[in-house]
Amino acid sequence: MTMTAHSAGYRYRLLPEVKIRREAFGGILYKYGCADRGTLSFVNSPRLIDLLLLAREQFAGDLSAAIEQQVSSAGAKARLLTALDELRKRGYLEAEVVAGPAPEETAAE
Amino acid sequence: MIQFVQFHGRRHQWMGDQRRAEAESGALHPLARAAFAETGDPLLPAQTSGSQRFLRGGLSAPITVTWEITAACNLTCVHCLSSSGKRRPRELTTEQALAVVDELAEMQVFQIHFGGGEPFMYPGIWRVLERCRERDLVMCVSTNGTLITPERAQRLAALEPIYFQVSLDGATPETNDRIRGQDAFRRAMRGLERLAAEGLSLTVNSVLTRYSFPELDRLYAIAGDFGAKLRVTRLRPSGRGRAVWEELHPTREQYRSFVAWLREHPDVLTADSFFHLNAFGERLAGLDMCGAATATCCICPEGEVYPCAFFQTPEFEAGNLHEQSFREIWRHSPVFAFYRQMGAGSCGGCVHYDLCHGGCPATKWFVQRSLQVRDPECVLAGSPVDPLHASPEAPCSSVAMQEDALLRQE
Repeated sequence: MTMTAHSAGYRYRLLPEVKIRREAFGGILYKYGCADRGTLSFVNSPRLIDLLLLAREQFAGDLSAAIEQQVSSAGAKARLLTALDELRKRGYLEAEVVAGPAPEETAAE
Repeated sequence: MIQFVQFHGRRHQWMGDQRRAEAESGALHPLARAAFAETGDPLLPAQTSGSQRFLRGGLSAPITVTWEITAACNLTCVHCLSSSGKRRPRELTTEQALAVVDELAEMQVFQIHFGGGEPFMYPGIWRVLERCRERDLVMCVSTNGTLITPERAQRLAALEPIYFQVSLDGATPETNDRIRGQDAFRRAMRGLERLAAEGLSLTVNSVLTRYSFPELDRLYAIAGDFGAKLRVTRLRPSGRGRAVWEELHPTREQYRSFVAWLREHPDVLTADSFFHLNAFGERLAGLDMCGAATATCCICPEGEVYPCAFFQTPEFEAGNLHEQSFREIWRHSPVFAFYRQMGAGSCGGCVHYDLCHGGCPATKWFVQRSLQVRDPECVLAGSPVDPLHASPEAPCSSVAMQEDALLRQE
């Protein structure tokens, strides 16, 4: 199954071992260890960093819940979900199935 | 949607640092001041590329701090970057070291990489590691492996997540022990066995030399036997390494083959230390520039702070923890401020500059006493396509930058 960034059927959850630090340009995500190829991303979006920190502090890492509560515009939600899916691919988030697949995903199977 | 964008975020702060550095430039060693000046004007933000967009100007705190916690070592490797052997008189006490851990945690440093000397010869090492664990700092310990007993390995396992690098500079006793001393190979292998027996996260760390290059496949196999990854790092002419660099550093042809070998072994780690090889035209994974003074720095046994572990020389000492806090040094040291604004020097005209950003400043300094020259191991130097000596008609191949670490949400 191909998971799309805009899928409404997934909840994104921040992995507990991911560290986040604000920087002037946005922030840094870090999941690292000498024995693994390190994962380090510079995120050029203060808003995305704020969302990640908010999700950790107030929603036990549940990013979908944080978006639902904090973001009202459909366009902004879609853009955030795209960014979150990229973070999932980089190993910072996990995606949990909560509903049936969207039609386009069924087609991709 | 991912976009790869120009970063201007820290320019304001960067200019502030510049003014501060100018005001405090009297504190710079004259050789350092002259060396920085020779590199030319700082790059404008619009001239930066790749990792430089984010690192130029420095981060609010290092990502990783290398901490050479003691100079005491039971081996005397010929290439030791810090000329380790005996404990030094002003080494930080355990209480001072614990305070440094606390400060690094408060600054949100992500990882501390302990080295030395041999870290297990530092009397307070257990308390320091335990404090790191309490403060949720990722720990990596670089060890020669010879002092790992089964009991110590068991105690270390209780500190997970903790990562170990055990040094092997050859896949055979002959190659390894000519660098690391008699019987070092056997004792390191024993240390690896003991750490692996506890299921600890391991890498076999190997400095690439012209003698170890032919043994890369065997080193890779040795690491695999312990469930470890192989980590290959660049030889630098620092410390005792200055005396053996000419003899040991790999040839250009070896480097060319090494890049191909890395392509075939994507699980091999390189600690971002071979970015100068990007000038072959293929960007390796990781940073494409020196991260010293921007993403990392080095604390030395007697509290000296340097831009990186390979740049331990009084001219470039940024400060000392006996006199200043780490935060103060990171944010206000003139050495760091100038380092972060270093110009491109003679590499400024090179079409490949965006790939390697001029290479390793420490290597330049220790080989040629200059920061404006190109990296002594520049893979293009003297080659038929040397861009710094190309005729105006010479074709310039521009290599597309693989920017994999930049996210922007519109």
